[in-house]
Amino acid sequence: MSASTDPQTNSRGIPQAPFVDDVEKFVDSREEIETNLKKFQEMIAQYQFMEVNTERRGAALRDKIPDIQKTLDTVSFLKGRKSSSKPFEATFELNDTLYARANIPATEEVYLWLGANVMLSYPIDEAATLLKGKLDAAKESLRNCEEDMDFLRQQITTLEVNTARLYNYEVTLKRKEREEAEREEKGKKGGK
Amino acid sequence: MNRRMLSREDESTTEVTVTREDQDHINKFSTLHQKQGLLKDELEKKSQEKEYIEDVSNELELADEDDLIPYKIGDSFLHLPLEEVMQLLEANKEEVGKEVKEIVEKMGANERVMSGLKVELYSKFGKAINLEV
Repeated sequence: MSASTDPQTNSRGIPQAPFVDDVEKFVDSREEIETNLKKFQEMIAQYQFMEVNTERRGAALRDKIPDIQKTLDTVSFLKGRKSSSKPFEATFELNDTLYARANIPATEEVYLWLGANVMLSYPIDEAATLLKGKLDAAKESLRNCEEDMDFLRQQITTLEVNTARLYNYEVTLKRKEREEAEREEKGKKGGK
Repeated sequence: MNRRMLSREDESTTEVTVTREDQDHINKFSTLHQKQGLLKDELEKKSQEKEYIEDVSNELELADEDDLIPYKIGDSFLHLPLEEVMQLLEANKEEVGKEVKEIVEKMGANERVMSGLKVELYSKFGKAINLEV
């Protein structure tokens, strides 16, 4: 079975599913059909497992990206204000459904929450660069995730098609056998 | 989706060999098809956003020049003079407009590839394949 030793992978090392070119050559006997069908099922399950994981990673990124974007928007706004020194008033979210007012004077630095109970002060320009980098990285990962999802789905489709064709081949074989048996039966009766 | 059983006659015509290349085309078609759905959703969302921004811009035409408008950036509302809010909205509108255009272009390109694949696949598989939704 040369098909199963296909070493091709996508850009992140997910192996490509084998493809059955010619069903009749793929299996030598009826018994092999069953085991191959089972093998395809197993591979589908593996791909589906990867699919679930990739989907989860993508969902996390889709959550994260708007957050970064929002922060970047705010920092960009503050950056644009640098020159005008007049403070402005803001209503900010203190907690869910609770808003407070604050006077924001022109500022040179912002504090970014880095997670793990750490907050760091950055000059505005540096903060913007950092956030932009994070945003681009997150978008890139999401793109990769989506590419992987497409790839995984394609492999699953390929395997499903393999399964269907192998199964149909078995049905055809069975029918042929039955028809042959019937013909023999008839032949015997006619001979009497 | 309406499934139909293949009759015995149809079945005989299905015995066209599917090559790896054909399978790749089928996979590509299915991926694009699915992507079109996602893009359509995104387009709807963006168009809605654009509409909102336009509504707000029109609404603000009526506002008093000296009023401070709470403009939302991130999670906070910033109280800004009308003129500045209008500028921000204008920039925002342009941005969203660009995104909408990009999506429309992407969908058009996908559509072209899909119809190409459709022609190819139908001419080879005829009744044995169903690419309609």
